[in-house]
Amino acid sequence: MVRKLRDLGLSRRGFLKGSAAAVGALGLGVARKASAQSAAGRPRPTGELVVGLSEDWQVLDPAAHFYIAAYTVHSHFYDPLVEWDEQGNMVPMLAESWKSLDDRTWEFKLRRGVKFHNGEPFTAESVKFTLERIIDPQVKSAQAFLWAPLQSVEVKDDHTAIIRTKSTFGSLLSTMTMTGMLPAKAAKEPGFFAKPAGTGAFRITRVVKGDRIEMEANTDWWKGQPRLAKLTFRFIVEASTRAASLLGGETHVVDRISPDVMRQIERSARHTVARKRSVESQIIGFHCGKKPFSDVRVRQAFNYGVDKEALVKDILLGHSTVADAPMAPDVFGYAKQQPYPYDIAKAKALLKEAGYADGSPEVELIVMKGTYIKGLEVSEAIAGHLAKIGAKVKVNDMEVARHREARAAGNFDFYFAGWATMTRDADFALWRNFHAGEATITGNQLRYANKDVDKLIEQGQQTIDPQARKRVYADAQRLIWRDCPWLFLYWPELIHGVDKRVRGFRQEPNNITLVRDAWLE
Amino acid sequence: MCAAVKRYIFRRLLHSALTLLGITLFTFVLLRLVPGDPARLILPENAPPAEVSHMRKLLGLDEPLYVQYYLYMRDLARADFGTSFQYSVPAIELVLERLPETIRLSLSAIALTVALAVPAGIVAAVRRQTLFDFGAMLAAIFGQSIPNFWLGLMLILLFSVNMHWLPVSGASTWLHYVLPTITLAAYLMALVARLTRSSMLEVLRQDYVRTARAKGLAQRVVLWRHALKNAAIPIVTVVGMQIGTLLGGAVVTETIFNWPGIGKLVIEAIWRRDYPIVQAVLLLSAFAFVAINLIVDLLYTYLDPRIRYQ
Amino acid sequence: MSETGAVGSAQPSTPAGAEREGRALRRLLRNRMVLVGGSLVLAMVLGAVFAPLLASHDPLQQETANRVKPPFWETGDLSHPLGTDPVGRDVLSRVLYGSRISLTLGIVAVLVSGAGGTLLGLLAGYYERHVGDLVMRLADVQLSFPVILLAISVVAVVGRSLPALVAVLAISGWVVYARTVRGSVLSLKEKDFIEAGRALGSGNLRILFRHILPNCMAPLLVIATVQMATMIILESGLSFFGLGTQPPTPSWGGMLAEGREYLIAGAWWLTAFPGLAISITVLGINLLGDGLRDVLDPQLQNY
Repeated sequence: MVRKLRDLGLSRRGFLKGSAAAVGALGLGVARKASAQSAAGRPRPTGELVVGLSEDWQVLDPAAHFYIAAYTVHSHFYDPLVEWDEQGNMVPMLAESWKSLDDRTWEFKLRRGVKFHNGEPFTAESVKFTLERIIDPQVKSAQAFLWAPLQSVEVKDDHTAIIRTKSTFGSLLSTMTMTGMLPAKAAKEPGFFAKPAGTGAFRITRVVKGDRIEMEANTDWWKGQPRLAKLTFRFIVEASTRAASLLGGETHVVDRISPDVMRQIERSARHTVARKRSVESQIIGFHCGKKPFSDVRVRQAFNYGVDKEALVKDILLGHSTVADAPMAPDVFGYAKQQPYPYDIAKAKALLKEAGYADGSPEVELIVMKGTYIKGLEVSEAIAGHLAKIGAKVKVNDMEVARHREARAAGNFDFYFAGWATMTRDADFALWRNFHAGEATITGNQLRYANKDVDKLIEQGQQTIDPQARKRVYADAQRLIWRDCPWLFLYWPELIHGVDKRVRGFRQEPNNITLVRDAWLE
Repeated sequence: MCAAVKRYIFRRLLHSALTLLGITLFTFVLLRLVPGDPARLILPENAPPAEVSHMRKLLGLDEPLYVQYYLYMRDLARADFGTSFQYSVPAIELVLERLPETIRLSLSAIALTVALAVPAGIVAAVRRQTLFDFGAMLAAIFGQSIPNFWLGLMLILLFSVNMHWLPVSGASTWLHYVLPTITLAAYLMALVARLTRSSMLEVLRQDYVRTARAKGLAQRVVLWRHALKNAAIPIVTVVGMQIGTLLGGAVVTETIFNWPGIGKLVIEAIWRRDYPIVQAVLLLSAFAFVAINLIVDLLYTYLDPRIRYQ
Repeated sequence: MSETGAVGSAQPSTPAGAEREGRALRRLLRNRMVLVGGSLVLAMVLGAVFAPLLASHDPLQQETANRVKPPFWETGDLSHPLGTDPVGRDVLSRVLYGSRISLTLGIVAVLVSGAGGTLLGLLAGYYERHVGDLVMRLADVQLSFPVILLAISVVAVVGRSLPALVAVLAISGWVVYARTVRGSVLSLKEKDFIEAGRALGSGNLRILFRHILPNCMAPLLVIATVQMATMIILESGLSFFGLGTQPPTPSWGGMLAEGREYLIAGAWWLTAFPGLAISITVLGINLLGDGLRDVLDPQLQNY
């Protein structure tokens, strides 16, 4: 046999070396494979992903904020009870199953064996603590209004929570998608929210407020460990710097890219863009309580007098969709309407009917430049369009604080803004914007009041049956569309700049940048 | 130290304290009178009045102005600078966390200025009307002609995005310091170079300098012993005045380069009407400014004993 | 060292004085920096004055279908020689009309801050003990207070307008005049000719305005020139934070601030041309100032 091997060109020494190497390699290979498989049977977390966000998440307390960036960041170290999936279905997260016992009572069966990052077990007590503190008047909660119908949470046993509401809470599940669960014991300690422990895919390692948050993989995550070893979110406010950080290789994913910059990113060999229709509506809100917009004909005239197709085509480079409803298609309850076509003659006729000759009405449009992509340009273009129907529009660009003051006080004619339906539920899209109620309760800043719309919105809140809610919301949207308290514009497309090596990145329609399941090639 | 100087220092200290007090009061009142409600910026856009007033109560803004000011001063005496509205942590914690980054950036800008601009100005003065003089002064004038945010963005585009030599944002390594320092120091370098030159020119013309030269003392001795000392006066004055500009420039530079310093912290806090942060930063920077100017004034005394103090 | 009045003071009362002025003027015109700087500034001013004639378009006219188009040497289209802005307005026309805003702002701000600062400086120097201290403390407060907070506050109260901008610019600039003038006054106060004037019975105000102020004019002129450049740069800085002129009014600072998002999108012309306009103007102003300083230098007192 040795002679045969020698014939093959292998010397004895070479053979020994070769076989030793082979055995060694085999052995190592086996060992490596064993360590690469973790308890959950997935590859060991590797790689570091850096995400650049346009907004500051500011706080790590799920109740204390109402910012998209905060939702983005929280989604990676907190888990809610339920979540929307890509197809728009409600899927279980920390809640395994749920049912409504009656109009005002829900029973949630919770997942077992889940631990917080600090070791504390997740139980119904966590649910009780998390939800009840949102409506606690002593807590600096920015979401109290969302949970207003909540009455109490009862701990039936360690893994069953009963939620009782004061009135029918039709949008309970949708609202719940935004609330990460807190550990009841630890969260009561002072300083907990400096570096909170959630149940999520990642655990926080380092926080520099207003700059970055660093996380590492939670290998014990109940859903299976994530593929990334390290995840960092950075707050980069300046749009050019954000895009430059992507092109310069310092970040792998950046959000809120404008369509002009998008072209530049696509030109880079190492980068690409991800685009998705969002649940954000870009709108102009009319002050329906005073002239000239108290007259519905003027509002309709303005809706006819703006060439929305041109706005989308020229300024947004096609990366938006002209709105055909007060809410976007990905929102539960969306009902398509007939869009107002661009019709200068009709607009002029309506204005004339309402008593406004050429050169009037003279109105001021208030905008906040930095907040919405191309907000100022679109506003200026709209002013140009409206000049053609005989209206004189002055654009007033101001900072966010003043914009909100003006709207609250009613010191405006009409304002440019956006509304992101973050719960993806029609109630969220309609209630705060169009319900007149008693002005002190809902604070509808448009000063729009239509009793029929109010009744429909209330019905939607007080039903749990999805089909019934859909019908009610369809009616409401028809009325709102006809009354146009908004100048309905478009739904902007979400554009993210992405490094080509990133896989598993998910754009949520409400602009959350979800990289929980992502990894780097 | 003679009695007159001691009296002077005491008077200056008193005035400095009063200045600081004035600044805190002014800032406090200004923030609360200027339109913009911090509660409205924490809550969602169309929060109803009841929610807003509840949030204001939680933030401590529902009391009358003088009560708020009293509480503020009382806490200040215990070194409590209040709690940030946005971040819900003590304001001083945030400021101290971010201050070192800005100080490092400012110091590197000053260092660059002293290393480059001062010698350039001196040489330009000594070699007046030569090519070096023209070149240096032209460069200096350009440095004062470019808006700093434009300069910063163009530097990023050229050196980070196009050539990949330098990083875009953040403050981790020494490489991160290069572009922000240049951007921050551009104006100051230009100013100091020109000022040094004109100051030196003036001093070189003085009688006593001519006398010293006539006496045969070496040029260098003349320069270093007499000229520089007197030329330094206006330079030191101007640099002292420019500390404020440096902080202002830091705001822009830190925004462009995403530098985690207090410049970026304070501008975001102003937009969000986070009063405690703005007050803390202003108090600190006013303190620094007043202290630096006090030192500058004392240096004045040392450099030019001809200035009397009443 | 000559103790007589500097250039620019009261009417020359002697033929010798007139001749001195004439000489200085000639020297001014022969100085290279004054010539170059002055020509640049003159060119900009002429551009501003004759903007309606030189501009091919209405600076406010939008054409969104034609937005963000490059200059003519990239498109071959001469109708927009320097390209168009994000809503299709002509860049060249906006730069020309923008010069009106920027230059006017600079001049008015310098006049306001200069007058105010000089007055305060005179008083601070002459009445050194109390007024002087007060003014210097005021200066400390103003210098240590960030311009940006002042600007945001002013704009939050009165809105974005040209008067608001002038106010902010003026408040941020008065100190340098005050300090310089005060320094001059302090060093001149004890001079012989002041004593002589007092001995002859001149009142304080007369001394202040007739004898001291003219001696400050030369440095003031130089400072004012340089400050004008600073004001223009400051305006662009305020525009960066959205506090400058209200769109659609064209101003160089505003165009720079609006166009900066497009730098990374490759639309370099949106910032290059207003930036160039600012740089050339400021360059010219600074050269002019330097030339003035060089010419007036021999006559300057030690300040």
